[in-house]
Amino acid sequence: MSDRWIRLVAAFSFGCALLGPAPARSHEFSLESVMNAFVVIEPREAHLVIRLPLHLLRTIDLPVTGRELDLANAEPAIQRALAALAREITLSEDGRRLVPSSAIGRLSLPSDRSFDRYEEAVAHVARPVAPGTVIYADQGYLDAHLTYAIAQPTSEFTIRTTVAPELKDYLKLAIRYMPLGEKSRAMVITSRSGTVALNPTWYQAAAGFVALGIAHILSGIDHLLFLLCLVIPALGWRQVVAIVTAFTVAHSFTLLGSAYGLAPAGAWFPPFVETAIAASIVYMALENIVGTDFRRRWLIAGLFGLVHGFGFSYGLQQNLQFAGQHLLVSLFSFNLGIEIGQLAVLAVMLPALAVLRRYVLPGRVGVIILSAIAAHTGWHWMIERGTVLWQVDWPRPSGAGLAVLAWWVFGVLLVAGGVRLIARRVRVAHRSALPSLEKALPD
Amino acid sequence: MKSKWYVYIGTLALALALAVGLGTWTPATQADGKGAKPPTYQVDPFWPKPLPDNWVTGEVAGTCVDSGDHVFIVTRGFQTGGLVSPEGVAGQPVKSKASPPAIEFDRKGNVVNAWGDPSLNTVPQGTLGVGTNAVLPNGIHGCFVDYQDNVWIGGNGDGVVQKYSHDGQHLLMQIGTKGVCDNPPANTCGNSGANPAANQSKTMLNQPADIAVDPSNGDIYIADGYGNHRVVVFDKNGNFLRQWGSAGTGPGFFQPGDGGHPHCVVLGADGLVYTCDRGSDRIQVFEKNPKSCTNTGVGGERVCLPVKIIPVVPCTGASGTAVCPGTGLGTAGSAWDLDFSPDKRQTFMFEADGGNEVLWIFDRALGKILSGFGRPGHMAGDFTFLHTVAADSKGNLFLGETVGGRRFQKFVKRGDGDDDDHDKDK
Repeated sequence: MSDRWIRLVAAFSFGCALLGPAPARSHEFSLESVMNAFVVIEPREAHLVIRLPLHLLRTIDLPVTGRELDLANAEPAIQRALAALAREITLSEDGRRLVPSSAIGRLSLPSDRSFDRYEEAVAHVARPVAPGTVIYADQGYLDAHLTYAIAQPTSEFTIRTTVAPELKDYLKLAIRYMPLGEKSRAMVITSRSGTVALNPTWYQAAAGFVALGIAHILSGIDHLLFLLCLVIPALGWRQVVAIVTAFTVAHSFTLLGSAYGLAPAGAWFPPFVETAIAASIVYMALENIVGTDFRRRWLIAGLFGLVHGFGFSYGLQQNLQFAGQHLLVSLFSFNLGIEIGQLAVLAVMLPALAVLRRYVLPGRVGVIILSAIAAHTGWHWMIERGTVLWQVDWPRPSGAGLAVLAWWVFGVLLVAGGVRLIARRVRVAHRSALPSLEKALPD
Repeated sequence: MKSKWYVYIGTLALALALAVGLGTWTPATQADGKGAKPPTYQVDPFWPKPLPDNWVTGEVAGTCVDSGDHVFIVTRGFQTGGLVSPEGVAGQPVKSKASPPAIEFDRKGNVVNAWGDPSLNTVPQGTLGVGTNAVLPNGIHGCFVDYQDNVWIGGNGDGVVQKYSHDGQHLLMQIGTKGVCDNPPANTCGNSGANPAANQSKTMLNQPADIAVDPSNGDIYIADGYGNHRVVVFDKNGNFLRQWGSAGTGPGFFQPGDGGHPHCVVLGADGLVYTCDRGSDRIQVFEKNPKSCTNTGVGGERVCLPVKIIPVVPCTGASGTAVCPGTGLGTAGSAWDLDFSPDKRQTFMFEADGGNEVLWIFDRALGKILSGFGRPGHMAGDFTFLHTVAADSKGNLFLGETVGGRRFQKFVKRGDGDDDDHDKDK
């Protein structure tokens, strides 16, 4: 195929890539409610201290006088509410459902702030409503303290909520779990979370996070598109291994760093990362189209891998609450899941690509057309995400911010130096065995 | 090759040195007496989400926040002439539809509820003429969410304050009588500054501007300040307890002109009552039950000394005095409304200055302006008739504009304020 013809196809494909509609935005739901709870483990007892908005108790029929709750005659309804609560929020010890040994409750004003701290919440629930208090229907809380006898504090505890399941994920249960002799942890679950381990074992955490990692990469269409761009030029298997390894090492590096709080915390950073990921797809697709030297592709894959690692971390951060004490195990498991998912995708992608390149889109034209499609998608993502990035507040230079940046530069240099050292050793050992990338390319 | 190695090691060492050095470096804090370091704010042009069904709010006369950080606004679009002018073609609001008088937004800016009876009088009601608000306070003005999550609304063209349930479906209490104001003998609503028989009723109000409710006992504090010039306190059942203030310019008096003296009343966590003396460009701070009082009002009514006076921007409203010899804005001075930062110490006081179109951030304890933002205009972040301010539990600000502004804006707290540190100390 002549260079002129290739250039025409490239120009046409890239032109098409810049046109076309942008993807639609997702819909947001507006009504959310939160139940706040403490779960505290003591040597012989577990405590669930919980606050529910009154509008969740419509079926309990709290007595009212006019528009006000009839507090003097509310006790029977409170007892019904406590019984319902014990049924619908269940604590289990080693798989055995716990039954409350005692349950007390009261109604509270919406302005009450006792649930900021556990001790205040416990004292508040035990206190009777102050004389003269007026609580209007649906404008306040039911506060409850349920106590459970437990076999031992080191058991495995789980929690599940089925309060108002019709509200699905819009009704959240925010839990502050305070195990005996350990740091307290926070998590947010809903009725759709199922049974959640409050103190998972390391293998439970590992299994959960491997599955999460696989699910994350399989649902991360932008990461997969970048992966596709890396391998579109039909490289030899050694090059694929080198590129994927560089990408993996790099994204593992930033993923772990982010999990330990080393990523910038500003509102600008997530849209920056998302935009950079989209830009990485555009860059890689363009590189495929113009046909640059692929020998340094592993280096580019590594650099962009750093950015993708930050992207992976957003899938991890909101789930680290379920890691219990096993943060490091969960981190590595999540990363392992990402790699398993990545290999699974490559196992399907590479043969499919080979078939496509052989029978449907052979030669350079095939590379150009596939890359142009990827560039099209990446371009629109980049514009859409860039619009969001443009609207956020950029960080002001500060000593702490520059220190974080310096740590990242130090880390990247260190890893890059290490990788280069290893690569040199490997090259020396296998110099004669490695074919050049140009040789691996058809045409 | 060796030189490359040196460059690499050198860069590595430099990065490490910078990381450690910058991470441990703590800049010198501000000297005592200069006030706390104020937070910074940025307008969120995407809050709220677009209103449904071509709703237009008209003037936004009040902003307030409930216990769950839902934001309420009270608006005047439904009033006679409420939508005529800017939104309509040739003075006709062709496509614009007046929004319900009260709108509730969730934290994301979605409308979650809207309510209020927009009926207008077809026959006179008291001293109110045809076309005035039949059910809601005429000249709807100011809103407040109390410790029970009820919503209070005043009216600067009426003699009432109303208390609604959180969902707006129930009128729970009304203080005063619609269309009948504390301004004998005719009891018409309007400035009573020179009337010795006014400003002292135990049942009537005269164009109340703002409301606050004491969570410790349910007492209701009203800035009875568009017609009258007093702070008046009722118990939780609406029975008169006490009042203070009269038309005047000295300590404890409120500016005699028409239009919001006091224009706000806000209870602080320090147990004090903060009032906006709009045209006199000052915040007067009183005890809840002031002790240093004399019967020196225009009609012999009670006037009490404030425990402190916080100047805002002197000579914005005031004029023709030795201190302010020039021409001021009169009623539209610099003290319009205020709220506090949500930390327990209420480190900062936010003050809406519609005279200068600036939101000032004060050190509350020192009574000193630390910073401010805003300018006159109609662009995002600008103000036109900046009227009210309300802070949520995260310290974000919700500002309402009346007359030519007719909108409300959210300003997102960007952190860095010393109030964050104070709450960490708890």
